[in-house]
Amino acid sequence: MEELTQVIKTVDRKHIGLYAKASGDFNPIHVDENFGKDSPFGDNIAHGMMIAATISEMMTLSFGSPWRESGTMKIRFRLPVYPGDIITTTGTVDKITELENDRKFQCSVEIVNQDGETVISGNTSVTVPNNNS
Amino acid sequence: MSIYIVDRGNKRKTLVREGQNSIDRGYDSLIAGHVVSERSYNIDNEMVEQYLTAVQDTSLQNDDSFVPPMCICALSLRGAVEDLKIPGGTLHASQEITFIKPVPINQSLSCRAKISSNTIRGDWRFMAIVLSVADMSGTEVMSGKSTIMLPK
Repeated sequence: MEELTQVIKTVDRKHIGLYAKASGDFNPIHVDENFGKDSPFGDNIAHGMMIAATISEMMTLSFGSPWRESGTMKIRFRLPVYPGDIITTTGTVDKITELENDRKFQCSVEIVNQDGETVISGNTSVTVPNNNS
Repeated sequence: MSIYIVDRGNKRKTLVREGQNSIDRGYDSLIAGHVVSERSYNIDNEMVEQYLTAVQDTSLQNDDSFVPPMCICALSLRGAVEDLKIPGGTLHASQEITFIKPVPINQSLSCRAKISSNTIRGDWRFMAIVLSVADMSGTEVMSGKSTIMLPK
């Protein structure tokens, strides 16, 4: 099965802070170092949707504009992502359904950390017109 | 300790939180169908740039006329997060998203969040929130469902 374009990022406090500003989500588990230290995680963790954004980036790189017009995503947040973690986002096309004027791609997606642990997993789909260049 | 204030004059309910990890925030009253947030946004170039910088997304560099789809989702969650006044330590358990229509930059969007389910399991409250985003014509451009875990 076809592999989607891989995305690799390093997560750091600076970008977690920027995401808090961009999203308006200032939950102290993300941005307050003392709160993070005292939490069960022992540190701050990245916003789940910040990490999930790499799935959208991968889908855009792989399928282009149809992603924003017809994309679906269903994911589970399985493990926290910490500042300093390196995440790798991958995907595989599981099924292609031929429609009248389009093709629907159904994919499995996964994000793993530098230790190979799955932090997010799930499925995506996108419908691509047959004349899409 | 938490206080649940109902301002009948403005027909608004406000959750006021005191301290962290309090069990009683009035969340018990939130049943399926309860609208917890309705907000309007205009996503301009500055917001898009701020978002793309934060997520380090370079896939959209050459396409600056549309809002990154996950930026719309982040905004739709913003209302729910702020209006529910969720406690520190709340975690995101799962997310479903459907992108229906591309959104040009500088278009006004209305975001609505309503409760889909609200249950307690062990030490956590699991709340599922249905998100819906529509453009100025009322056409839905994105829908989704967030499941969050609130510490008791």
